[in-house]
Amino acid sequence: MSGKLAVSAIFLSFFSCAEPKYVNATSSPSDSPGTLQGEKQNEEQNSVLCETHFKISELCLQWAWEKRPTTKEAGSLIFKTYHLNAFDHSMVEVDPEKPPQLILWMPGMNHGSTPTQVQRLDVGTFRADKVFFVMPGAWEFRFQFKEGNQILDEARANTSF
Amino acid sequence: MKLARILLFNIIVGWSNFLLGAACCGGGFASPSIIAGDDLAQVTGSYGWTEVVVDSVDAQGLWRRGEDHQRIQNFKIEAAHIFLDRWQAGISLPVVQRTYQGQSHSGIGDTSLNLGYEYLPDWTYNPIRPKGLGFLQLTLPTGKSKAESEVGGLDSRGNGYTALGIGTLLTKAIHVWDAFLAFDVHRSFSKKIDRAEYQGELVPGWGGNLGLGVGYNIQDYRLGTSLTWTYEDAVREKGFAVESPGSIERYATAMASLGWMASEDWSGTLSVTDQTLFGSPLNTSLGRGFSFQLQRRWSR
Repeated sequence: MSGKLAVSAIFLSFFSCAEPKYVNATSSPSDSPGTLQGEKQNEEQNSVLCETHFKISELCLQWAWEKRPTTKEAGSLIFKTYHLNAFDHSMVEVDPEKPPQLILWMPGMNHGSTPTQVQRLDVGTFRADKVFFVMPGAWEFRFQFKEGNQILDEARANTSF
Repeated sequence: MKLARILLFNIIVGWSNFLLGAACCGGGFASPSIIAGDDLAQVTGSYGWTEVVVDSVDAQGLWRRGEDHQRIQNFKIEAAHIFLDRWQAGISLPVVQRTYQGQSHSGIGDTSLNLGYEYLPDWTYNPIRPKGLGFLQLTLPTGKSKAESEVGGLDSRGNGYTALGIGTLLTKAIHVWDAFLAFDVHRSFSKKIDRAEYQGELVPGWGGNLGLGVGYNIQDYRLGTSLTWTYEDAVREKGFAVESPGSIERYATAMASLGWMASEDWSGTLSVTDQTLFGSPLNTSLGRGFSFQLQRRWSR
């Protein structure tokens, strides 16, 4: 009897039909606050957080969409590299030693997307153009400082498309 | 005799055909080229077309579908030859083309070499005992992996890992019915990547396929169906100062096929596949497609 039950359970678990749990197709990334606050807003006016930071230099990073990408068109984002002011934790923008690059990476499937292009706008302020996700899903922004192909420092932030 | 050859031919066509990879980016564990019948040698040419209909299923099992979908065409040449009576060797060489938003990328996929041994021969008829073939398989990463791609995996044509596998194929034909059970486990080995877009080490683990199929034979034709479950361990990523655990990948591929044995030496099979129907897929993309196979065999 127990053998038949076990066989039935195995049969049902293997041959059961797939249950699609569709997430509504989005034409733009689902997070992003729209202002340069990274992924979490800070309630205080002047002080900012440093939740996303580079591993080695501990330089803080915030990003925000300038133009949200769609399934057809690339977007752009603005990101800042900064230290926190020791007195009031306000943002002090600084230029990193090496020009930053932005890699788009899909950690679940271990592949990237098309290359982005980063341009310096001001001290510690950059625009990443050609931000395009080749498929919907969970993605990672990998902000990197490099020398040739060698990564010197990296900060990661999650997004969903 | 001819019916038995049809049965064995179609069983093996079903087996090799359903080892499809996840539809997006790369591919599954390459299928071995095996002679399941009593032939001395065989060469199989196949063409497959797949459309990715679910672009990504994440690690939580949520399905996402975009507006445009990748289309994948697969051309594959497989050859196998018997040596030392019960031993055989085979090779499988695919060419893959991906098309997405007007761009196409193509090239050689992962090459597979296999060594087979008939451990349960079918020399005398037995109503229950199946015919059993065991095989060792070496997969060479001749196809570009999705991690090495600079266009989001669109130019990837294989898993990109060296892998060693062991498996078995059990077949049984009773009257006009036939059935097979195929099982393999494989171990993929880590790979360091140093390219402009990605630098790090990817550490895959174990994976496996379990397939079941049945067929009904009418004269020179066979109607068949099969279901294969595929599992791959999470691929850990040793990136810069961070190690990501990754997540497991799994999916099930359903297939229906119509086979036709034109002569003792020639046969063809038309198959349709769907990865959205069964199982509980995770961390993959799902496709639907069709394929056509043409096979030439040489008798002993």
